[in-house]
Amino acid sequence: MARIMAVDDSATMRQMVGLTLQAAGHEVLTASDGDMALEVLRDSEPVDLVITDVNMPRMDGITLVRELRRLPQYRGVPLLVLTTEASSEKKHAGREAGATGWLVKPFNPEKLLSTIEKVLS
Amino acid sequence: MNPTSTASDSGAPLGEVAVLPGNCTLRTADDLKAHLLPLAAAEGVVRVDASRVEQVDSAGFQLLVALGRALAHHGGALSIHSPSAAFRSAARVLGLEFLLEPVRAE
Amino acid sequence: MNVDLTQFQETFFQECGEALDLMEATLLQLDIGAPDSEMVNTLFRGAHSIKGGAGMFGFAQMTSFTHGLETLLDGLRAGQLSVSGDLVELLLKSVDALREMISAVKGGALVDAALVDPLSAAIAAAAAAPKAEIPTAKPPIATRVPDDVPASPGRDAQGHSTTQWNIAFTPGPALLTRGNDPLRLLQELGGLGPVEVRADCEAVPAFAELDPEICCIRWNVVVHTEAPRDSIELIFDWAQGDCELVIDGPHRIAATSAPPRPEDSQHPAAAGAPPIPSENAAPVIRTEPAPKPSPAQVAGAADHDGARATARDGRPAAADAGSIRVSIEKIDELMNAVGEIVITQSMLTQQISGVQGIAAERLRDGLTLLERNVRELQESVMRVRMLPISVVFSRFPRLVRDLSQRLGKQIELKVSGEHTELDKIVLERIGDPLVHLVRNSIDHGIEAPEIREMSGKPAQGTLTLNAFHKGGSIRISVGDDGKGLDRDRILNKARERGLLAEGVALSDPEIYDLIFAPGLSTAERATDVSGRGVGMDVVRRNIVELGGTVDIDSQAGQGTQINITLPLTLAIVDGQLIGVGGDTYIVPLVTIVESLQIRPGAVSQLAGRGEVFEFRGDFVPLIRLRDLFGSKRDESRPDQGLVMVVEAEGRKVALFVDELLGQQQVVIKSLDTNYRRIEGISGATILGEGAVALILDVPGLIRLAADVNSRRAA
Repeated sequence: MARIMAVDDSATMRQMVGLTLQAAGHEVLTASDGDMALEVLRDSEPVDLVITDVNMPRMDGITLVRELRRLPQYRGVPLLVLTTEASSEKKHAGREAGATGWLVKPFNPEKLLSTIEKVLS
Repeated sequence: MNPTSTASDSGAPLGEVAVLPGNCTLRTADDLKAHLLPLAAAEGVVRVDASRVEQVDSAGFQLLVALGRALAHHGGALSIHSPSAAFRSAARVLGLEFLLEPVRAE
Repeated sequence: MNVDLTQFQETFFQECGEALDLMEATLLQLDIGAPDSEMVNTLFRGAHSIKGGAGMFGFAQMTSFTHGLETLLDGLRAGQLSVSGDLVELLLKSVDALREMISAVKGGALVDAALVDPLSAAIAAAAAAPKAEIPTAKPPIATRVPDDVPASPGRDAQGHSTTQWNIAFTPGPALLTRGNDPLRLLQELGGLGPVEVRADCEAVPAFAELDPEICCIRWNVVVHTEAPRDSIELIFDWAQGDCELVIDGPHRIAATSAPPRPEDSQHPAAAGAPPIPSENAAPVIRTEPAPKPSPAQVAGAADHDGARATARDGRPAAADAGSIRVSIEKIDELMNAVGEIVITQSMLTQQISGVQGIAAERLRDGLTLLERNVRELQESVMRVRMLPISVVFSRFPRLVRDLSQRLGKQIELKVSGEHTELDKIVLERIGDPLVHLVRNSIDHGIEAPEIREMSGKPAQGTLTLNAFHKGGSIRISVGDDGKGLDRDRILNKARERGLLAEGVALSDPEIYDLIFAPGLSTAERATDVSGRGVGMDVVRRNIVELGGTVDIDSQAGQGTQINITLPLTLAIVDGQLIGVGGDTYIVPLVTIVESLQIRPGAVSQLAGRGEVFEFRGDFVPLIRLRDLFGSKRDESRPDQGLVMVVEAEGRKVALFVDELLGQQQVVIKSLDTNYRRIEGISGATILGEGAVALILDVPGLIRLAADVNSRRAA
C-alpha cells in the first residue's frame, strides 16, 4: 500500500483517481490545486507518489512539481503529470520541472492503475 | 504508514558490522552514506546485515557497490549477510547479485 | 481489476453543470475588448475539464465539441484572438449546446448533429480567424487510442524467445532525482521476456566522492522478446533525455540456442504477477476481488452514493426508489453493535494466537476473513452517517455578503472541497465554530477597502473555505488575505492578563496559539460581529471535544489561515499501542510523527523548558508517561529508551515510552460517560484480551507540557 497525492481541479477526476487507487489498496490524499497540494505535502510525511493535473487555478501542476523537487524529502519521489494532449511541449515542461513522467488524458482506471503500480513497484 | 523507525545505529562495533536500515533509497541516501562512511576506511572483511531492508533502489545499491570497491582497494571485502527478500530481488533485477556472493576467507 | 466508470458519471454531470453555470456567468461579465485574463482562464478551464471528463466516459460528441471550444478559448487566452460581441454570443450558444448534450447523454442519446455541426463549424472558423490559417486538425480525442502499456510479451509456447535485443543503458545525472529509478526500468524490461542484466560499475566514484543522487552504474541488458522496438522504447519513454540508450536489434537467434536459465529471468511483470515476489513485500491488494475502502476512502467518495444510483446504461435510476429515511439512533445502535463485534473478534484472535496445529490454522484463516468482513461492515455503517460538508458551507455565501455589506468591506468568498464528506455528528457540531471563524476573518482579518489599497492590496479581500481529506482525518481551513495577527499585541495582552510569565520566549505558532486562551480577545474594540463573549477558546473547546485540533498560520500583512483537523468519525480511531509501566495505552496514529530510539545525549535540560528531546534540529518538550500516569519511575538510564514524537495543532511533543506494541483500529469508549474526564486521556477502549486501554489525548498532552513548562518558568 502506498500513500498517493492526487491533485486535480476537477472533482470528477479527483474522485475517479481517488476511488480507483483506493480500491487498489492505496491511501489517497487529494487537493484541488497545486497550492493546496504543496501546503499539505510540505509539512507532512512524504507521500510515495504525486499525480497532478497541469492546468489548475492558483498553482499549476508544473509549478507544483518544481516546488516539490526543491524539498529534500521529494527528491526521487515519483511525480506524474496528467496532460490532456500528448503534446511534447507539456511533457517537456514537466520534465524540466522535474517530473518523473506523464499520463495522457483521457485514461481509464486500468491504465491509471497499471501506470501507478509500475512506478511504485 | 509505519511510524516506527527501524533504523538503528546501536550496538554495532564500528569497522566490522553494520546494519542496513529498512529504507535504503534515494530519500535516505545521504544518511546511508554517512552511516557507511566510517566503514569505507576499514580493513579486512566488513559485514553488512541486510536483513532489515524493506526498500532499496539503485541509489542504495550504488552506495554498497562503492563501499565494496573502497574495501577491495586496500585488500578487504564487503560481505552482505542475510539479505531480505526485497534486497535480494532488487540485486537480481539490477544485475548486482555478485554483491551477495560469499566472501572467500583470505 | 475492473472499475466501473458509471459510478463517477453523476459527479461528472454535476460538475459539468457547475462549470457551465460558471462559464455562463463569466461570459456575461466579460468585458468586450479588454477581457480579464483570469476570466478567460476560467472559461478555458471549464471547457477543458468538461472535455477531460467526456473523454474519460467516451462521450464522443461532447469531447469533440469541447475540443473545438477549448482550441478557441486557448486562442483567446494566448491573446491571438480578440473578444467581440459575436464571439461572446457564440460561446453562450456553445454553453447551451453543452447543456443539451449533457441531458441527452444522461438519457443515453445524442444531440442532433444538424444542430451541433454548424456550431462546431462556427467555433472552428472563429478559432482560425485571426491568422487566417486553419488550426492543425487534431483528431477528436475520443477516437484517439490512448498510449497503452507495453505490448504483451511475445514469447513462444515454451516461454522461449527467438528474438534478442541488446540494450545499453547509461543513466544521466538527473535520472534518479526525477524519480526514474533504473531498478524500475530494468524490472519492466524483464516484463517483456527473459533478461540477462549486467551492471557495469566501473564509473562509480570512490565512496567519499560519491554523490548518492547520481547513478554512475551502467547496464547492458539482453532481452529475449518478440515485442517490437516500440515496447522497449516506451519503457524508457519517461527517462528520455535523462539517459543514453542504445537499442540494438532485433537479432534472430536459433530457437534451439539456449535461452537464459529460467531462474535468471525476472518474473514477468506484464503477466499480472507482482514484479518482485518477496515475503516481506507489503500485502498488495491488487488481486483482491472486493475492494475494501477505509473510512477515509469512504468519505473521499463525494456523492458516491448518489452516483451509484445511476444505472449502468447511464440513465438515472428512479429518483426515490432506492432510499429510505432512517433515524440516527438506529444507525448508532448498529455502529455500537459493530464495535462490540470488533472487540469480540480481536479477543478471539488473541486467544488463539498461541495455539498450534491445523485446526488452529484454519480457525485463524477464518478469523482473518471475519476481520475483513467486520471491517467492511463497520465502514458501510460509517458511510451511512457521512454527509458532504457543503451542508455547512452553504450558509456562508449569504453570511459573507451580509456581513461585508454591513461593515463596508469588499469580500469574495472562495469555497472548495465542499463535497468532502464527514460524520454527521461532527458536521453538526462544527458549524458554529466555523461561523465564528468566518465572522472573525471578516471582522478582524480583512481590512476596509481603502486601507487595503493603501497597503498595495486589491480593495477586495478574499476569504477561503476549504475542506479535504488527509489520511483518516478531514482538514477544514478558513483563510483570509487580511492584515494577519499582530504578534506583539497578542503577547502584550497575554502578559496583561497574566496568561504568560515575563521573559518567556515563544515561537510564532506558540504566540498565535495564545488567541485560543480563555479571556484573550485582541480586537481593539468589540464589534457586534465577533469578539464578544464567545471567543476563540470556545471554538477550540468545541473542536477538541470532537477529537480535533486547530492551529493558526498567520503573516503580518498577508493574512491568516486557521486549520482545523477533525476525525472522520467519533467512533473509531487507528491507534498505535504502547506499553508504559506495564499498562497499555493507545496513541492515535494520525498524531505520530516518528518513533525512535534515543541516542545518548539527545535528551537535555533546557532552562525554563524542562526536559527536551532533540528532534530534527529542534528541541521538543519531553514527557515521561510513567511520571505522568504515576507509574514507577524507570530505573534504566534516563537517556535511553524509546521516544515517540507526536504532533497536534502544529506543535510537537516527545513521549517517553517503554515499548511499542502493535497497531490496531480501536472503538472509542468515552470516559466522560463511563467514568470521568482525565487530563491527557481522551477515552478508553477494550483490547482483544478484554483489558482496558486508555487512549492518549495528544493535544491535551501538548497543552499539559506547555502548562508545566510555563509554571516552571514562572
